Amino acid sequence: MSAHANVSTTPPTNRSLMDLAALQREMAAAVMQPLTPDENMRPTMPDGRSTTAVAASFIAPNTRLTAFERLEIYNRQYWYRVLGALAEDFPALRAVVGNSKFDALSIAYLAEHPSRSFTLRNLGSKLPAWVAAHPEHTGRRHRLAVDMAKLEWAFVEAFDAAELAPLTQRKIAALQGDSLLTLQPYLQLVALHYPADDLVIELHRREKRQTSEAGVAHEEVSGAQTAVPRLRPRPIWLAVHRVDLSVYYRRIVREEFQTLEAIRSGSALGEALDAGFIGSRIPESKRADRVREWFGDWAEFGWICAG
Amino acid sequence: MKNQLNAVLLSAALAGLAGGSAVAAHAASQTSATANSAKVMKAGLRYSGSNFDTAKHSCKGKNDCKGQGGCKSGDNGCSGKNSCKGKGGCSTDGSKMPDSI
Repeated sequence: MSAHANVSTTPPTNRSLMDLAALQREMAAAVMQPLTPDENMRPTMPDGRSTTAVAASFIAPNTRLTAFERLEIYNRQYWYRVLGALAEDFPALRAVVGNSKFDALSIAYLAEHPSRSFTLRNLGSKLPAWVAAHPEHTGRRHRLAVDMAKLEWAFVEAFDAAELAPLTQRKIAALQGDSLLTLQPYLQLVALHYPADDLVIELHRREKRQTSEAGVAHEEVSGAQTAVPRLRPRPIWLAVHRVDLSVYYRRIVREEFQTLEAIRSGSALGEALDAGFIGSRIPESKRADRVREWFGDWAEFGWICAG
Repeated sequence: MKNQLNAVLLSAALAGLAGGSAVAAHAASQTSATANSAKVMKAGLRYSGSNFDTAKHSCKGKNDCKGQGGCKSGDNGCSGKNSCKGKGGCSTDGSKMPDSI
């Protein structure tokens, strides 16, 4: 091979950046691969290569640890961290499905939806839909588990999602039937199969009490199984929002929920009002009063913004 | 008929928005702690422990600090997780932690 053949056409800086990106992908694939049941690093990578060989390709051993063992520490810490973060965000779901099922559910979910964000805040963003699609991970109380996942994720969003400027009096005066409105990003609309909102709040209160008594959450209390009372199924429509930097669960009627959902999905004001009363048993003579009351409350909470 | 009803509902919605907006503006101009009490009364069930100041500083509740070195990362998340036993905490070169820091 001539010396000329070794000269790459790629500039050195770009080449090293590509090498770095490849190295990062390799490292991430190894670190994010689920552990064995004994919490060790798997001997083979997802593509069938030996993990020992992969680790040796970019990690040097030292006098105490092999390359595999050094990589294994990162692999374990990634999983302990993301599992801990998920358990911290979904204590009520954990209580409903049970500790061991929750652990298995978390591993399966995170294997499918690994951390993709700079913040672990977003880790559970796909969990409600994932739980709904995987009844094999939730057991007998599947629908309650789905409710819990939805409620707990709604809390995360309501807690720190953006807040836009609400509608001003001047903009309200200019509104018409074809006007488009926007809801506050922090306002979460959740339809439930069970009256699970008060249960979630109670479970979180217990979790908080246990945590403050134990000093540190989860590590100390994870062995304890929280008892969950039986609930009768009953449809509940909920607005999860925040007031004065605190999160609230506000029950609303189906028609109110449907109107808000229509606004959020981009319907014009007049269309949203029609959509709100689809299937409604509220007499037509009473609808105007209800609408006035709902929109008054929404404006008072600052939920409605300009489109 | 349907259009007539929709027009009535639209008027009601606009009246509600104007009224609620005026209440919110009045509450915002008040400095007393009770100014927002009516709004809080209507807000629903308060999620205990969701107060921002508490959560932000203690890292409990929500994840402002997650992944940023706060919260449980003082020991790099190793607390109670026996993987590091005999390997010196979470150091990845296998060295022992010093006896005291």
